[in-house]
Amino acid sequence: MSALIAVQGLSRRYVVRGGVLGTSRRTVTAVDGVDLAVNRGETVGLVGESGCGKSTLARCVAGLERPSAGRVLYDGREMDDPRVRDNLPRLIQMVFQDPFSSLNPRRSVGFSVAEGLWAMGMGDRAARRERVMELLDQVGLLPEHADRYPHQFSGGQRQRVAIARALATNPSLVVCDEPVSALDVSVQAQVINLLCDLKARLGLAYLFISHDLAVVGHISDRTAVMYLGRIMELAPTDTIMDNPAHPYTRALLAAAPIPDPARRQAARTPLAGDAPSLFSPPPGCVFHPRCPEAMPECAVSSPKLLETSPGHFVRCLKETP
Amino acid sequence: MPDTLLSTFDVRTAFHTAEGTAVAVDGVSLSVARGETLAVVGESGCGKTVLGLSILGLVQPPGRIDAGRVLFDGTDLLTLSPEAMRRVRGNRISMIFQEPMTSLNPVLRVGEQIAEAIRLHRGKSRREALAQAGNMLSLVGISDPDRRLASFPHELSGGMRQRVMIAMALCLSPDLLIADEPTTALDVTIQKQILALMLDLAAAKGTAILLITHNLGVVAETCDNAAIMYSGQVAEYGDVASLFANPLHPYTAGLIRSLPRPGDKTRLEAIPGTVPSLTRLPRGCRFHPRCPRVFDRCRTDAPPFFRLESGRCARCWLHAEAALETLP
Ligand SMILES: Nc1ncnc2c1ncn2[C@@H]1O[C@H](COP(=O)(O)OP(=O)(O)OP(=O)(O)O)[C@@H](O)[C@H]1O
Ligand SMILES: Nc1ncnc2c1ncn2[C@@H]1O[C@H](COP(=O)(O)OP(=O)(O)OP(=O)(O)O)[C@@H](O)[C@H]1O
Ligand code: SF4
Ligand code: SF4
Ligand SMILES: [Mg+2]
Ligand SMILES: [Mg+2]
Repeated sequence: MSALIAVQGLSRRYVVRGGVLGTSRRTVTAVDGVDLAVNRGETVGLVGESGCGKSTLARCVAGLERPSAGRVLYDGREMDDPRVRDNLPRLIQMVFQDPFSSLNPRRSVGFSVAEGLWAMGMGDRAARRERVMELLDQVGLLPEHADRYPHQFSGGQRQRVAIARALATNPSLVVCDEPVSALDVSVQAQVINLLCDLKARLGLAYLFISHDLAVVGHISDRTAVMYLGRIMELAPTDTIMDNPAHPYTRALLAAAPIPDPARRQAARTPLAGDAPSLFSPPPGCVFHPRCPEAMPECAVSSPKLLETSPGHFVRCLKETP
Repeated sequence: MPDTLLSTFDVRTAFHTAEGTAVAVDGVSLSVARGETLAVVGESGCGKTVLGLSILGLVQPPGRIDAGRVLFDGTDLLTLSPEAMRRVRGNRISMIFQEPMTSLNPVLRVGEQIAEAIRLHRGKSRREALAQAGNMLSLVGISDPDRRLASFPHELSGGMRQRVMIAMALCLSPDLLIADEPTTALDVTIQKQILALMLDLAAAKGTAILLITHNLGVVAETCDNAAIMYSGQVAEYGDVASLFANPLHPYTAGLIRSLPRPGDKTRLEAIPGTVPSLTRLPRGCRFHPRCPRVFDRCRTDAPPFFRLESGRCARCWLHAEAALETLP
């Protein structure tokens, strides 16, 4: 059986202006040759440095952007296949970080939730209304909420509305780009519990982007760690958390703040060196200028993402036989 | 009191709308000393941002500061003229706003935006200001700062936009920095770098920091004291170590219990229910419909702010007997 989503050799380049006057033009590669699969009913976590290409990859998977190279297969079919293209909202939906700007302030919440159904021509007016009620109930909101407007809801409630909206067309995959980072920890817990319930009940799959490693650890079956447009490590989440093989993964885990003042860490800057530049990526292993374990050869040869044990992929010369 | 820089006394900020009056900040009294980092934590919608805006005099209608005082270095900011307040904002108090996309100008290159701020308040030439802007970008961990100066906000990732905002606030080296969720869009290594930068500023220049955040890990690792807000009021105040070890208010305890724990995949313990609407507040303690320790008195009488011998404070009847004094 083919994966629900298979990302193959995906790259995404942007042309950007450079120079103080913005006159020169340069190409940056935001996502560079990513391979990643999401299976039915599976949650894949995606973590990594700010600007490393997570949102860009997510937008390509959701069909909001075209890859510059490589492809995304939906159940084994290309995006250009009409069975995929015409059905995309039924396959994939996206939930964004900001519940404030992702809903139309001038439309009632019921309208926003039903919009996808209406656009797909699914059901008549009465059927759509019924579906909205069912969705609001699924995400823990009340029927009367359908007629209210976004500004009348708290941040956590708006994020529930955004999730209800994403679920309306019964997608198989929901791409969540930092869905809980604007929420306080109690509402965050409510939303995470909701996502887990929906997965258990509806067999949903998630591609889940977050900077909070504890949250990713809680929700994901597998986790991918990205750095400068590339996947550096991919493994079952427990392996990533307990036995990380890549030096960058280890640096990331070491930097995670611990909610316990008794364990306050003395060292505040675990990763030395400058953040890498997309304009001139380092030669060899892109992580070598900052890698605490770098060897001389790391500056010249670039490691490949290799399966070092079943299901555990690492891009590091130390793990390369 | 150690060298207090800012104290608010009973600040009350309300939104007067057709649906009624929503008191977003309801009698908040807090103080921050020079060099101190104070965390402000609390449920989404509890008034943290409005508190920051109230201190800065940036509350927009239909919102209005109805009562209270904001003493900053001996001056009540609420009595200043708009012009004098603008000078304080540029020169002595900076704010990092919560939503970088809405606070950056979408049609202006980010370098121009930072340089403009520097020029306005420091009277430097365009070239000097741009050079300083580039330095600031590299301090907040943005590589290739010279090229990035020429970027438009939409060409940057979420975390880069947030760092542009931080660079803008820090380049003025303020006496007080109000940072509203400054690191939510950043990965943990850059988050650490930025927090270290802010703490260095606090140590070197004695900058006081009001850090508004949802991230209890960040509070535990970087802040001296914390104020936990619920529904427009401070529910608990105290030093960070005691607050985590032994929370006084059931709401604080609930927040700490909601955190995911490594290796534990069971259902998270969220606080049941939602925050009350500001126009329909429950009688008695505002937290009582959700409180696991509610008793009779909580349903009828609103608890005052009790101060204990340790200096910690809590707005909860459970501490009535141990309290040294009650504050409003
Ligand atoms: N429209 C665009 N034009 C030019 N460059 C872009 C554009 N969109 C993204 N980029 C660049 O691509 C890179 C990756 O951006 P992306 O938003 O995918 O990062 P991210 O991993 O989601 O970061 P964050 O964690 O900060 O949200 C960044 O360097 C960004 O500047
Ligand atoms: N312009 C406005 N009109 C009416 N009510 C408002 C307005 N701005 C804010 N409020 C209300 O004031 C309350 C406090 O809002 P505030 O933005 O301070 O919350 P917050 O604690 O910063 O939340 P978050 O963690 O989600 O940022 C909210 O209930 C909000 O609905
Ligand atoms: S290849 Fe070398 S530089 Fe890269 S992660 Fe491995 S040890 Fe570090
Ligand atoms: S006063 Fe009563 S209801 Fe309120 S927090 Fe304390 S115990 Fe709970
Ligand atoms: Mg992003
Ligand atoms: Mg806020």
